[in-house]
Amino acid sequence: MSHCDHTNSNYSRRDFLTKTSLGLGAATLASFLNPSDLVAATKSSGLGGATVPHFAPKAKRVIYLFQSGAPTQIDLFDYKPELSQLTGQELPDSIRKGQRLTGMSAGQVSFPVVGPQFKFKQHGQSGATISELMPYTAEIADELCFIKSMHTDAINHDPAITFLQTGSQFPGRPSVGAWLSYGLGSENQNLPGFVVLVTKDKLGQPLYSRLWGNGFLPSEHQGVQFRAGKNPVLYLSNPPGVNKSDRQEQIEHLKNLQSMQHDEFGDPEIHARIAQYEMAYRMQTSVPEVMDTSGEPDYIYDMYGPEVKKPGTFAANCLLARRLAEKGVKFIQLFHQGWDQHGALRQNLPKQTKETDQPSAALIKDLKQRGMLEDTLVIWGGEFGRTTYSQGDVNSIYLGRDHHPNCFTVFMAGGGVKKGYTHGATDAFSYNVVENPVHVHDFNATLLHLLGMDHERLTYKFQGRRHRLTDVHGHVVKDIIA
Amino acid sequence: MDLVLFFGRFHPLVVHLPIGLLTLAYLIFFFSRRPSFEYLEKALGFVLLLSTISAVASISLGWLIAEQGYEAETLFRHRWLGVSVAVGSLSLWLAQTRTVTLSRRGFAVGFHTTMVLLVFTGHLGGNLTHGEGYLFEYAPNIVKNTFGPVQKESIQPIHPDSSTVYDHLISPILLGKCGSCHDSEQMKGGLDITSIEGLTAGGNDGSVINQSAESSELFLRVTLAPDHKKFMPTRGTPLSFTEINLLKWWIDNGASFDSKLSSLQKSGGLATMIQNDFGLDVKRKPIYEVLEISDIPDEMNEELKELGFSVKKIYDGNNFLDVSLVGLEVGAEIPEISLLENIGNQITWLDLSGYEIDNSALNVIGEMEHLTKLKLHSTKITDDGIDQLLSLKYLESLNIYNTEITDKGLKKLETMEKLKSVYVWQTAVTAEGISDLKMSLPQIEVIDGI
Repeated sequence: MSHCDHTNSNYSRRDFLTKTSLGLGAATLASFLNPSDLVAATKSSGLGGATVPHFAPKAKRVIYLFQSGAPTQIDLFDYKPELSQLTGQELPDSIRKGQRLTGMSAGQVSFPVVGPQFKFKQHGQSGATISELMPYTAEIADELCFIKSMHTDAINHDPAITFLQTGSQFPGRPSVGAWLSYGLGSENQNLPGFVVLVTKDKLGQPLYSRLWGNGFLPSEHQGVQFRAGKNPVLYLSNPPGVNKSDRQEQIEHLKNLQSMQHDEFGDPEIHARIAQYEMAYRMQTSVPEVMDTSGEPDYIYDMYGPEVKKPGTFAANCLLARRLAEKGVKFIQLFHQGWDQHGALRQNLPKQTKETDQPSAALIKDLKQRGMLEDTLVIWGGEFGRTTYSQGDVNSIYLGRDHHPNCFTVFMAGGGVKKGYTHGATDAFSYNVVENPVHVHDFNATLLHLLGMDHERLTYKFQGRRHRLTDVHGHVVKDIIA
Repeated sequence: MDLVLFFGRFHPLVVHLPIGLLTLAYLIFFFSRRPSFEYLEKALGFVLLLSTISAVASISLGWLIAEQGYEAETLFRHRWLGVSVAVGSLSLWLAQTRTVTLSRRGFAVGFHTTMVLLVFTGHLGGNLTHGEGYLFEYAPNIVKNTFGPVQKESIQPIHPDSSTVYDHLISPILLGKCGSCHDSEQMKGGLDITSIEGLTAGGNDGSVINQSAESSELFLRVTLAPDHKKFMPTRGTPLSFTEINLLKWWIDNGASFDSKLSSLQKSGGLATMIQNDFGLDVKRKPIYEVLEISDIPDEMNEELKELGFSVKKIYDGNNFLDVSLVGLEVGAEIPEISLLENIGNQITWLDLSGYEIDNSALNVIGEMEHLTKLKLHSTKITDDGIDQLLSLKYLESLNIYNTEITDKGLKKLETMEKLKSVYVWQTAVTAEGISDLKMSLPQIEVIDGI
């Protein structure tokens, strides 16, 4: 056998014998144990995953406004008026219960409670408590479904955000958007099923592309990041001197080569790669069209606020999110950093809410007037909450709050969740959940459920076992479903 | 009674004596056959005597604890198997002491049988104490499937329209929690709860169901403080929160024996409880989850896709379709809407918004009997076209924003009773037009610009 012939050595005599004897034997045994396995293996399509929901979906797409850094629930939604009187007093041990703290405040000698730093009012018929920092969100209180009893396992940003995105604190699992793309496919053949928009030039906890990665799922399910500026998708446009028909011819030829390679190796990732090349080609037309917001009327711009005309801002991304949703993109995830107020909470929190409040509310209203809120689920929330006690001197005007995994608030709108509803509650310190806890796995299970997917059935076999977004956990929170 | 139970509860302790002693006797019986253990033979009679005495003792105690109330069938078998073990032990002792004559072979067979009986008695006793399935709960699946108890059939999710409150919810609660004493045989307190006649007849003190739950003994007795001497059930698990709420709701709604689950008003909390505890989804279901319809041929599906339609099943195993033009390339020719005629019955969600569609297409759409969601925004339809849509008896959501619809067209919708939302942003529809429609259809939400 010559060296050049190495591709054929895939099946040496020894391989052949091992594979046929052991392999066939194992397959036979497996079919005895669970005959449906064999059928299941042949049923999966080339690109993996079903494209039909398991049961009737309430929502057809998701716009997830991820607030990275962990917004403080105490100062925004989870109003605890009694806390103001307790400000400066030590957090009782009966509340903290030896809870592990981050390295940033674990060394503190005392943990003085700090009441809400901003005024609250009840809004709408539902009487939702919303901070004065979010006047626009307050206006649409009756559209929203608050979960005040979210809790997570992680106490630091990266593990926590990885946990929320992938169901595991360790990197490497597919993100929720990738699972949905795998499970439901893309509605629009010219755009990816999962698009990510990150607010430009924000400082804060870093975000990595693995947060919207495909993990072990076929790679065409990964989130595609659209950026502000001339090249929304990196390396999408043709290099100078290559025109569209050249490009098409090139991709066609490449596809033939790759198909030959696939016949040789049978690696499904080759199909994924072909699909991505073709998608990229189609996106050369579809992406500029969807990213060009110049046709939007002024009153729409006004709704989203003054920053909407500045590409890369949260407001501009909210508008894009609506446009992408209109084009049938299944999962659109925005990331907005800067919610990590360890210090200077009074000074910095208003800046964050100013950037996000109006556009978030405008997006929900805009979807509503277009009749899209019926089948679009909008989610607003971060990766954990913030502590009831002060990080640093309680008397300083620059006080802050540390990370808090035991409770945080997220809100949703549209897509089959109850309107003007609050689920779960925390204790008087906004420290522990006392009613209807919703764990991250429960949250993800519910998210999939709203899209018609059973989180226990949406699986992918990798490294010898079937993986799920919710691992072996998760209960659908039926109470929030309309 | 108390003293009876006090002694009775020594049964689980004492019962281990005959088990141990009989096993010891069995071992002696085997080993004494070997020359090196022959001397053990002499002890066999003594050990069998002890096991007989202890067996009788534990049977007596068992009789006492049986008063506590157990699952009747298992108890019956456990009781008489226990007695047979004692009889076996006694006969073996008598044979061993030559009081009765038994062949060596007969003795061996008798011994084996007694041991088998012992094992079964013990197992049933365990089931009585710990509940059926205790032994195999953590067994590997293969063991569980072979030997474990047959899985009790869980309550099948039944359709709320076809389930009566009494038969599917109330009766099972009463049977499970009260039926062991208040049945037609025991009729404690003169009450038979297992039949409709018995319930209506009431007990010794008269009727148990009155106008409201608070005035009905049936409800009051299960909600007393648990240590109150009139608290029911006197033993076993009290009624759960959901069960008590269901009972109250049923009595307050007239304690009817034949009203359907779907016909009674349910508060949100109760609906959640019924869903959680009984797996019964009492929420109103859309038409596409209730009706069944035939599948469309694959070729037809492929053909429509070729033309640019996106045709998807609503969900796996359901043949209703979600049809749209999403993803149709810009500038591409819009496929002829009339092509959808063949699959009109199957379409329940239709989205043709944003394309050059005028009233002529509405003929076809009006024939789509099972349509629940229709999006026609940013099209060229007008008031006249609305007439074609009035035949859509299941339509719940109509999206016609950014069209030439006016108040005149909106008013036509007033006969569509199922309609829940209409989107009229960027049309000539006025506030008066909207309130006018709401007069005829109070449940409707008309969404204008926000």
